[in-house]
Amino acid sequence: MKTLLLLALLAAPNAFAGQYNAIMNIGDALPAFENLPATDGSSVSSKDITEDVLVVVMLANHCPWVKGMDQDLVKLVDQFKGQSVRVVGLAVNLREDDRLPAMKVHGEKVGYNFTYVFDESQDLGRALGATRTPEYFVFDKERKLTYMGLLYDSPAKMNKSGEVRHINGEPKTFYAADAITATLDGKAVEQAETRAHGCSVKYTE
Amino acid sequence: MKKLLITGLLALCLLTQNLLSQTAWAEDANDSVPLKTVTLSEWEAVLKSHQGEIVVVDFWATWCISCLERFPHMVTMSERYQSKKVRFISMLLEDPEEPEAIALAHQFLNKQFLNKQLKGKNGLAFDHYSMNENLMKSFEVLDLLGIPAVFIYNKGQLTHRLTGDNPNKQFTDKDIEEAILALLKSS
Repeated sequence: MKTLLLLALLAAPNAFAGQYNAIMNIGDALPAFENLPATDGSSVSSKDITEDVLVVVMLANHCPWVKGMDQDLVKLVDQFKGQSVRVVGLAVNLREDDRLPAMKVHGEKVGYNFTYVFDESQDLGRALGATRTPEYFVFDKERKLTYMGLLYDSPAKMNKSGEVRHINGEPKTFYAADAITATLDGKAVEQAETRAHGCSVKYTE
Repeated sequence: MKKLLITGLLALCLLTQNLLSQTAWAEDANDSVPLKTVTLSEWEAVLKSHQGEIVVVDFWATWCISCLERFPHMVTMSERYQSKKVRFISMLLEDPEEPEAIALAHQFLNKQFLNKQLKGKNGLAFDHYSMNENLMKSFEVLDLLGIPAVFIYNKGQLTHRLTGDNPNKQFTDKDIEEAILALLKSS
């Protein structure tokens, strides 16, 4: 009750499509994308992705909240290895340290085991309503959105010394993994939206 | 005896050095920009205490590069509107369990206000607070998706909520100034 009162005083209501997303809502279709350059030299189009589940993860090399969860993202990809799941990392920030050359260096350094693409037009990020990094979007076989938000309930930040600290201690609820499992099974995702926590994505005017 | 004298001299040197360093620290502390730690309910009280003013709140953190890039513009803006009695407030959103990040933020603030007359309690046009709550709780209660974000209050009401929540409606310094000018015009 007290929290609700605080909310009323400190903030104003938002007219969003989703609970925490101005553009996308659960059930919305994947915005089509074409020929996005990847760090491995390939280019990726949405029509070429055939797996049953597609996970798009908003990333930014410079972001301490991305660096903090990098290894857990790698583990997530490993967790679903051999299953019909495709993970695509997406970067849209236009700062030099977030662009393709830096993405290649970062991906190799931290051992990214998934396709990592750059969208210079920022169109895909805009169409997803993606405003933070990291932010997870899970799509089913029909490419309808089944989950968006956090990886888990305790975002982690890497400090200047390279130490990683989870803000709520060890994660207990693994929203993205649960969403992928449910989507693979053709079931509704129990918690379909969470408030992603991290660095803001910078879009051009 | 000679050994005792040397030991005594050494001890005196160390004591003097210690006192000197303490004095330097005290001077630094006096010059330091005040950064007050608050809880969410105390923050509510802070906003209430400025109900008669136009209040511009800049949410920021050291982990937010866009916030650091925007901050000097907020300082310049606060100088521009000081005579118009517009109060600027920065709200730092760091993990309270990471004191080194808060110390780094304080250093950043001190650099921003170096040689600025805005510094100090009397006649301060820019107040600085640090939220002492779990970060996720703060974002939830403040209804923030991300930072930088600027909230503008007039007569205790939130009149402008400038955020990056919508990729197609990002805010600029110009939007902040236009909001302030509109409020000044209407008051």
